[in-house]
Amino acid sequence: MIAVPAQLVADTFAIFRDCGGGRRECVTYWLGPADTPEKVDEVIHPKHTSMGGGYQIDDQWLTTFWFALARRRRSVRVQVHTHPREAFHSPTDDAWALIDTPGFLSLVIPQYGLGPVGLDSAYLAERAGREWREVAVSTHLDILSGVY
Amino acid sequence: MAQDIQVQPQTHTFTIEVTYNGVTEPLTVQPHETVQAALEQAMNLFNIQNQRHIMAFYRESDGSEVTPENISLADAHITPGTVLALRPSKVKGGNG
Repeated sequence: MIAVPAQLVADTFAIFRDCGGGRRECVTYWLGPADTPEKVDEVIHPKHTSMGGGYQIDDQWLTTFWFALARRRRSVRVQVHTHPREAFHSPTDDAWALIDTPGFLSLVIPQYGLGPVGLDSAYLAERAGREWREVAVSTHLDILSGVY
Repeated sequence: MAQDIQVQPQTHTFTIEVTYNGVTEPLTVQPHETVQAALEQAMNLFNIQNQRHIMAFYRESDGSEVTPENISLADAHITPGTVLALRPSKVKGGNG
């Protein structure tokens, strides 16, 4: 179970609405201390291209980010991105995720993030074995009240 | 009486550092081993079991990918103490 400040969820939706504008997909990463897997306390908005039905991370940005994570001893715990309509894990999401180690979580937000702020309509996938499988938000993310 | 002396070729190893998702680990390699062989070692080290074919090493100095993967570490100018990022060669997603 990963503890997620509610304000971080709200900030993530704000990024999606500002960047995607209800017309394009957007992506963020939730980070926490590298030695504390059960905590996230930072949202990162990567440099990316996007369109109505997809996004791609900027290659140079990703390398810079990767070394910055190492210097700061921070790890990405959850990949969060939007879909235009319903939330699910697409074949593209399965094949080209940022992290592919067991237990990594990928959260998909429907309607470009224009719906109510929260995870009631979200789809959460976990990397398990050779596949991504749907898991319940309530058993994997503990949304904490307050700021971070 | 002559004695057979078996001479073993000296094995040179050195250590590089590989970083993956905020964790940096040392990796012992040999200069003549291929980039691909070192990649396999690194992916095993970080328990990367899936999508291994999209993983690659990247240099910090100029952000370039260490390629081609069939050349030796020496030819790729990977030297003791080199720090490499291990990451997917491409990250994308979406409904489309």
